[in-house]
Amino acid sequence: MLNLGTSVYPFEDVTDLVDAAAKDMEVGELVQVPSFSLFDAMCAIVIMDPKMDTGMIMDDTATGPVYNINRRVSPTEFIWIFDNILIGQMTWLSGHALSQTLFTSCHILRLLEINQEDDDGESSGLHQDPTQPPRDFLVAVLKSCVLAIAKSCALIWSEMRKGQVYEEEDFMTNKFGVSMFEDIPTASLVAMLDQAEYWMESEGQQWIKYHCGSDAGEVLKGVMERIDYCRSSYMALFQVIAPKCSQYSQAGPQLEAMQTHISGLKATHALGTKVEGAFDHTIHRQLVANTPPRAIALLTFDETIEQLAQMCTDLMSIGKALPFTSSANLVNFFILFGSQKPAPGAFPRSILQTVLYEERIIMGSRKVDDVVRESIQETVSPVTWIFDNFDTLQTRLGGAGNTTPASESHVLATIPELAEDSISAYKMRIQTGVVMFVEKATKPFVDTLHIMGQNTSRQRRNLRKIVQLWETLQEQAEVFDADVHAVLEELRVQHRGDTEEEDQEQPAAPFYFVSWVYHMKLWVMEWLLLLGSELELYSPFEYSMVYAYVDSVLGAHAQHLQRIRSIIESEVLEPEPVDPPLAKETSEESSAKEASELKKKKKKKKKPSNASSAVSTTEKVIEYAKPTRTILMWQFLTSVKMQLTRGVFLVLASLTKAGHLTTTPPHIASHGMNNLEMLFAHRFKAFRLLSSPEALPFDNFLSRLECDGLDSLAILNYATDYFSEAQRALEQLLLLSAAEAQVLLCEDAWRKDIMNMIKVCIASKIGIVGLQKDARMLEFRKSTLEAQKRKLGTSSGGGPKLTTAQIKASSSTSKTTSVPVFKAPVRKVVFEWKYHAWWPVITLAPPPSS
Amino acid sequence: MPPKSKLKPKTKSKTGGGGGGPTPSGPAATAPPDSTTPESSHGSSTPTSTTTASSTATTTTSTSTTTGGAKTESSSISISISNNNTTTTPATTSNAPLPPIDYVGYESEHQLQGMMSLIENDLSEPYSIYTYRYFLHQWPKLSFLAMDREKGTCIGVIVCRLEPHGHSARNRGYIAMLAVSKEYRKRKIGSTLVLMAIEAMKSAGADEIVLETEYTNLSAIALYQQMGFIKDKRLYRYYLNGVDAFRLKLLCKPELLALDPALVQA
Repeated sequence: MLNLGTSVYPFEDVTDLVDAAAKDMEVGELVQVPSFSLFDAMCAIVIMDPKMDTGMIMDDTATGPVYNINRRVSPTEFIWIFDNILIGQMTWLSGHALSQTLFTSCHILRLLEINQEDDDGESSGLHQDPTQPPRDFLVAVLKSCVLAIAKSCALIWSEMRKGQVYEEEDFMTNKFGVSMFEDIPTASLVAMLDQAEYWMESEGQQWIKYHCGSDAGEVLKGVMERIDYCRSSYMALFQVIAPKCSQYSQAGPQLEAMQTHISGLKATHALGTKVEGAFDHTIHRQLVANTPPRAIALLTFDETIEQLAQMCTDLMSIGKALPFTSSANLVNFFILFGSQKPAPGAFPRSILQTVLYEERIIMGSRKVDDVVRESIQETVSPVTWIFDNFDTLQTRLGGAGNTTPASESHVLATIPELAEDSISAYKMRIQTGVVMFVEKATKPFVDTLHIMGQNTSRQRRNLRKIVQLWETLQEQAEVFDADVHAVLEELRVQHRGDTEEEDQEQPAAPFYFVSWVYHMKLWVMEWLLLLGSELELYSPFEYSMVYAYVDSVLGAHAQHLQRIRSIIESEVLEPEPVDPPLAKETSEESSAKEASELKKKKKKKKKPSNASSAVSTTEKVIEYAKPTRTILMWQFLTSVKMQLTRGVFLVLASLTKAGHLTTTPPHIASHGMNNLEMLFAHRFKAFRLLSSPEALPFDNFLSRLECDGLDSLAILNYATDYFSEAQRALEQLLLLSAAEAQVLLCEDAWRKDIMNMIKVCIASKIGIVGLQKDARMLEFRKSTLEAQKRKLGTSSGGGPKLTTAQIKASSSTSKTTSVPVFKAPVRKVVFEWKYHAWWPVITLAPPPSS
Repeated sequence: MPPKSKLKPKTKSKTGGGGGGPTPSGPAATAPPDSTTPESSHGSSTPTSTTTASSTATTTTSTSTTTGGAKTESSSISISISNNNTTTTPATTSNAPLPPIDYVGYESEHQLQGMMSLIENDLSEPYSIYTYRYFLHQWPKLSFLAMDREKGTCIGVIVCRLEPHGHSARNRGYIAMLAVSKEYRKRKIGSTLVLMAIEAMKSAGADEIVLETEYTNLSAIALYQQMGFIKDKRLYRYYLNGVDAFRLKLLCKPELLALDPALVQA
């Protein structure tokens, strides 16, 4: 009952007044203030409605006894309580409310009521028994361990409050005003754990030895493992969340110890003895929440251990990535971290984002400008002087993160005074622009990496915004590149004047900055499209248009990467060692060498025509730059992805032609604008306004689907070729070392991903063998052959390979084979995603038995 | 940049209908301020799945003769139902006569109790009466009831909303609640109600219609996909029981690029 006398808030009963006023209203009339929103409506709780009023004490739960928090516990009871608290912790970490997980433990909520003096009285009856466990199992051991878990959760909570992950969706931070003992100093906790350990060694183990029979050894181990686990897990978390990654490196050994103890917990879990009443699952009735709790399933202990171990592994891998050596390795680490299956938990994802970027420092170790610069350098290898004077100019421009257009104008105005000659002045002008550009590039670059720390649903949704960020930067890069070209041209003219060489070929304009931005944008677009598959958003009738689009984006990317490579390879290296070589250049040379080796392994690529003649008219040896390892790896992977995508697309096209698969949306109602063209526009609308790549027109997709008039079996042959090519390339990739593949921070995950792609290739080829026996496909072939016979040998047998150009060029008006009227039945198409979330293996279900 | 959490209204999930879909969950997760799904900031509900199987309901389905608005809607619906049944194989062949069903538009608060009882049967946690009134008083023409003609009881209900959405100014219809009494399922009552609601929202100017459903509720997803809805987004752990949702969308009018919310936000 509400006690009006002690109510905190002034209370006035207006029931009669409202009742009287309501008499003037008709049934159905509503008094509603405009500000009363759906949120208000949904937050309203009807008092004394048992379904809504969670504080209501029901008859069946009203009489439960209150757990005696000072009840002594035996070592095996300690194990059971501890393990169930751990289950609560990990269930909370998996996204549920504290009120239904950790806070159901009476020991967590009433920890400070445990004390040495208060004995447990008569209620437990244990003190009558001479074999009753010593009180210190409760006071020294259980209390300190529970405190450690509570304080560990407080550390986790403080991280999760940073907002790197999504409230309620990823994690619930509501503490219901309950303390997690944040005010108890770490030193006190450590002292308590020391005391627990000391007591166990001095007295506890003796008691266990005499009272736990043949299990004594295991029970002792179980207790000690839990004390040790508490120490290592608390210290590990403490170090992991220390600001600016200042202690992360020390967390490694603690995390390793934690993993060892997790195995110990698992091994001794079965020893636990249940303690009735130690967990109160109706505790939420006493905690203030804005919504009634829903039934949840707690994790099992095995799941708890599994998730705990995974959390340790993830935190360790982040720790190992902190001292990253190159931007490419860092990017690959983030890509593979974000695409792990099963996905990392919310806590490691939050940590990943926190350590990524703080006060313009990446991973607690390097300036963001350096990392962005390095990414540009690794990708497009601009002329080396372009990044010179970076720090000096950045300072003149106002310092990192503080540059403004005004400061840029000021610096540009002072360049004539600073530069020694006109050439230096030209260069310095561009170098100033580089500082400004790198600063602008920081946000898209960091935001893109941040995305990997989000859940996959959010990744896809936020990537749409990231595409726009890169698009905007691309516009700015285009302007800047035009400036760069003007200066390069000026320098070239001056250089030509000096050497009086006029017959040199004009190299293509490099577009360094646009190239880098466009490359990043294309990668994000691919990722965005393929995440749709991973999230199961597409229906089978949409698959062909999706994979056609992915193919077109990958095609644009492959073309772009080849352009970058050609530009690099046409760059004439300065022969004269006038300036002292920088350390950076030395490393570049070695990386170029490795890249060259990689290239040999990969594919023999012809040198540009001007490069093949290594002797110039002046008989000087002209040395051309070599593409970086980064660009070669991107080329390789993009090519493989394109082959896989094209293989999948061709299988879809083949099945579409045979009538097993439709591209027509279901529309029993015809109430929506659900024709395929409309959906095509909707699915890819994020790309329609981009300056580049050119959006794939719907008609082009249709003509791609037509596959140049080939019959289904012929299309499948080409699909097999693409899967075979992809498989060969992937197997070659596996031969690379982690350093060559630039996956030093995530080699295992990378190899696993490559293996999964190989599995897609193998399974797809096997699947195609099955498809080739399909009656409709055979009917189609027969019809094609008959048509060919009628044309009296106008076509030769093995046609050329179905190339990108052909796929693109084939138009609806081209030679379209007439599809026969099939007699064989339509079969159900089966999509199998178990090998890779981005590419399905496609087969047909057995034909319906007649 | 990563979103910061902020408590916002939420959704209640609803139970799976036909075929014993999953149950209830609860208010789902909150949307961060920069969410691309303003829908969740208004709260939402997951529709009950309804059966996709046809039945002998054709002969007993009748249209409303009550209110003007509803009458128009249900008349047009009856045509499409008739068309459907000509192409769908009946799933059940029971000879027992089924009670005839009338479809009526929402008229007044007198119908509310029956609607609430029906929906509450499918929910672990009920909506407060204010939630019903939020929808019914603002968009009364977008709610329909299926009535057992003989018993005069409400055995199916759909509740919807229509308002401009986010930055795009597109009129977004939203199916907030759908429930069909268990013993009346597999008679296309759910799909009939959905079709009536779609027609009503289209007539009222809807550019698109959305709803959320648990990603495991395959029968509901199949039902809506057959009506032309696509899975537009996946919402991670949308419901408090930890289950993801799909946001399904039906496009009623072409999208204008310039009004694309994602582009505007960017």
